[in-house]
Amino acid sequence: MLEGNLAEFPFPSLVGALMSAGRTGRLLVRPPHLEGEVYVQGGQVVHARVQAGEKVLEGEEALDLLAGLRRAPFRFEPETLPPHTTLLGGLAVPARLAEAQAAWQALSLPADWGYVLRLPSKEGAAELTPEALRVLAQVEGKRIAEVLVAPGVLRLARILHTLLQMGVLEAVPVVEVPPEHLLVLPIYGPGHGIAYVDEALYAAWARAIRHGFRLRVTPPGTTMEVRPRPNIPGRLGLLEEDLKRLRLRRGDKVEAVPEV
Amino acid sequence: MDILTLNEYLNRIVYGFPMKLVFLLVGAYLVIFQIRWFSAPFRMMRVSFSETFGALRERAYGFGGQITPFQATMVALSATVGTGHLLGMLAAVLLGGPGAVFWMWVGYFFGTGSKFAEATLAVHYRRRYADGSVSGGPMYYLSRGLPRLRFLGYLFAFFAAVAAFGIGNLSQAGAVGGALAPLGAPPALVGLGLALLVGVVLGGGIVRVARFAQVVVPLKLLLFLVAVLPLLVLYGGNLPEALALVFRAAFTPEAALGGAAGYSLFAALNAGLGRGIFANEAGLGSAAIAHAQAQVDHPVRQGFWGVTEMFVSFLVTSLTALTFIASGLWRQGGSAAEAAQALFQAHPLGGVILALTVAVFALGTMVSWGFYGEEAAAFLFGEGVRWPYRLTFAVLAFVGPLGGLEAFLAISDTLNGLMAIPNLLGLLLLGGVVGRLVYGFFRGEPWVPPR
Repeated sequence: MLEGNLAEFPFPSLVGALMSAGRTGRLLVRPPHLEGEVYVQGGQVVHARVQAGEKVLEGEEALDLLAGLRRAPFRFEPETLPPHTTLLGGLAVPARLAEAQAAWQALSLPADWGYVLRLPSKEGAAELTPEALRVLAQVEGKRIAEVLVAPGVLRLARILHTLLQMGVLEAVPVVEVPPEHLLVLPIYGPGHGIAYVDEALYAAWARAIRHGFRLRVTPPGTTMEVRPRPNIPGRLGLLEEDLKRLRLRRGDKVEAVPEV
Repeated sequence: MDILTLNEYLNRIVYGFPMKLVFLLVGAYLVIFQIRWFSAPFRMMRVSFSETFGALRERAYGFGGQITPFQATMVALSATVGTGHLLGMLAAVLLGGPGAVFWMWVGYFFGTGSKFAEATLAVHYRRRYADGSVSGGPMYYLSRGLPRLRFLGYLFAFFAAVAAFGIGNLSQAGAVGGALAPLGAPPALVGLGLALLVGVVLGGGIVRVARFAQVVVPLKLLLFLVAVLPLLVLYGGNLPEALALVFRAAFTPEAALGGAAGYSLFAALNAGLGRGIFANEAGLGSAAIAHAQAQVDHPVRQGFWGVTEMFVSFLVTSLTALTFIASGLWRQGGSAAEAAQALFQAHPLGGVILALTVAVFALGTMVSWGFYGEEAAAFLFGEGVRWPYRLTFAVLAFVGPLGGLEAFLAISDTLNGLMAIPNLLGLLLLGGVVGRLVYGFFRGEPWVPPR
């Protein structure tokens, strides 16, 4: 059984290899929050399908979407036959894949399509086309994968790219880090709005989130910039000014949750 | 010159008035130029309270190490608050008159600088081992902080390791035996009990020593309050007068006391500074060995705990002195033991409470000094010496109440005083490091341990 990751073996090359080897079977691609399958019969791509939740794409649109995946584990199951055909095979498939690949290369969407799209917290003005505005109205709070599984994949991807570039939309990872119960520790120094956590805890959060994050401190339910500091396990270092502002004092127990 | 004559000569030097001035000057240098208490006194006071009394409710939470800053301070206090706070204090008033108390307070004030610097440097230069344990104290900050003068660290360790057997053990065990003898406790039995207790506690390493100290220090303070409060109530009416006498007799004892018992300014200074320096061990370097064990994110935090240790010691000595002066018994003269007996005759529990207080004070001192000596010996001879040292310490704890070994006691007393010489020199030379650490702490900078 052939298996690997698209990060090492890009999707168009993989499909091309299966076609030139004249293989029959099913290629399963499983990025987070998405399921993709491509059926090859005697070296001809005859069916492609992508599903995210209840939304399904089939045929060329599915191929367009799969061509945009930059990393995802894949597995080829030989001798599995397609339930039905949605593609005609032949040279149209590699041509379509090459076209899609070129289109995706011009875009800079996050590699992880599990990221959630949201409006930025900063206010600002921007001029948008009616189509971009319509997309913007529909995507907030949804994962990229979920948004892209819709007719007109490449067009949608271009609009998302534009919105992200303009800063009208931002893509952030969904953070599911359990809250930490920490004791407040005063840090004596100038400045404010910074919370310090132990280096090891910060590193663990950074590994889990892989994105810039802030810290929500409850009580009083405020969000602060977070920085690592050595030798303070179990503590949340707060500057004197913040202690006054938040009405906290040494030894108070607080709940700290990283937020993207 | 035989060894005892030499010892007597050295003893006069290390406990003499010029040496006391050196203690005072080093403390003043640290307080004024390095720690700079006066640069922002109210902020310093606020931070000091926040870091110590404000942190009491989190006393069970360390920073991921073996013992908490609170426990480390308890170990240090267990050694510091000893019989010198009771009998030693009475002796100082008898020798120097009420004015001695003022000079003792001066000694305490500048001693905060030395204690703060010792605790800070002890954490800064301590050694951390793979099993999570740490070792520190003057021998480490002298040898690591002053590499060209590393012999000072070895000198200090030698003095401390031997002094712990005498002044930290034999003399304390003798005090326990002496205190319990009037209650009918046979010295051999007291010695056996002490040897077992000390052996078991020291055998558990710093964690058990800290747990012991965490119990014994509050017990000491409780017993002290039970001993002193009834007397304070009894002589409460005389307290304002006693306090006024302290200030009046500080500068002109002859005029204030009418030439009573030949009290002079020098006698008040000498006796007062002696108490203000040796009662709290600031400058001797012993307590730094305990403070080094605290798991803190910044050495300066432990420095503030050092000041708290001084504050508790200050309260105990001051209350003892004021009660004694208010009672008027100091005018009768005599020895400290006789004065203590006379003072506690008026107590509802009589001499029993005095005996118990002295015994518990001495016991706590013994255990902490056992740990100090063990750390010093391990610095000199390596980890393998710990158990032999503990066993020797336990054997001497048995011998203590039986008496004898006076010559060894006299020598160890001198060695105890000699500990101050390398330590004070180190504090002076490493004062700049303390200053930089304090500056960094108040700039919010994290601590970077030396390599």
